[in-house]
Amino acid sequence: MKRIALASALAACALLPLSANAAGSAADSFNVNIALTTACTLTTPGALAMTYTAFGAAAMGFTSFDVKCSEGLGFGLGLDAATVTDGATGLPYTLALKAANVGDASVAAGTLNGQTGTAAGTTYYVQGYIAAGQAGTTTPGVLNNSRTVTVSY
Amino acid sequence: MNRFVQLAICSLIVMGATAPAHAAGTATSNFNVTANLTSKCEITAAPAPVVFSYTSFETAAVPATGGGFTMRCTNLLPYTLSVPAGGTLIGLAYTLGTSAAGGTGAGLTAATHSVTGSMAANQSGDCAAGSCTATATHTLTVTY
Repeated sequence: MKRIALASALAACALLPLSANAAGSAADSFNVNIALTTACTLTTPGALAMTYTAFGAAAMGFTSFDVKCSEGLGFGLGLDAATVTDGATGLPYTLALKAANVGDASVAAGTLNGQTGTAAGTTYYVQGYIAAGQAGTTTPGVLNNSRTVTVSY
Repeated sequence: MNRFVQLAICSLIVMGATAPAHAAGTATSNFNVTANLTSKCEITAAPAPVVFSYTSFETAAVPATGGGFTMRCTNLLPYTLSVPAGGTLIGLAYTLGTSAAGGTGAGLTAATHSVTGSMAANQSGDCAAGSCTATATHTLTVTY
């Protein structure tokens, strides 16, 4: 009787489908390699406007631009010219790169070095300054008021 | 019954008793064969490095190159692929994925997939020089 029961059980097992409970995993490692080339970008400064009355007080104006450089990257700013005579008015003026728009009768400052890049960006300023007591001219000269600011890194 | 008849009957009886056994029979019995298979997946070639080349403040997302790998699984065995969601290296965040969510095993025929990656646009990165490099190690997992 026991033999019959065992044989029946074996036969029943043989009829069962393959079980689908096999589970496992296989894993392997891989590398992510990153090569970063640093860079700086800057926005275009707006027009720097100064209003001056002949023989009058000094005039001052500012424009600004934003610089973004790779975080930690050192850079410097430069102007193509810092002492200029306006061809249209005959008024000499100076330009100065500044980290803040705090006006002063500063001398020309065509460079601002030693800056460090931030991902969020930093606002810089160009100050224009026309000294007091100048006559100017009404004879139009050559317009030469297009200036260039450069970020070097 | 005369003696001749008695002799004939006895002869027939003896002949019958000693006749050859020419009628053969068969006996059968069933038996079971049981096969137990433990299914499995293998990564036969680990993923190639996933490579990003990025310049600060990219204007569009940058995809990674590389990341190809091969694997095989027991025929018909379903599997899924997974990698970490991503990470950050030298200030650059990246995402990782796989070229397929998973598949079905094809036995000895290897399947080719890849680990994919992307870096979002407009990231700065951290680097005090003209260029920097960095490497991180992650794990690809095949689950079945």
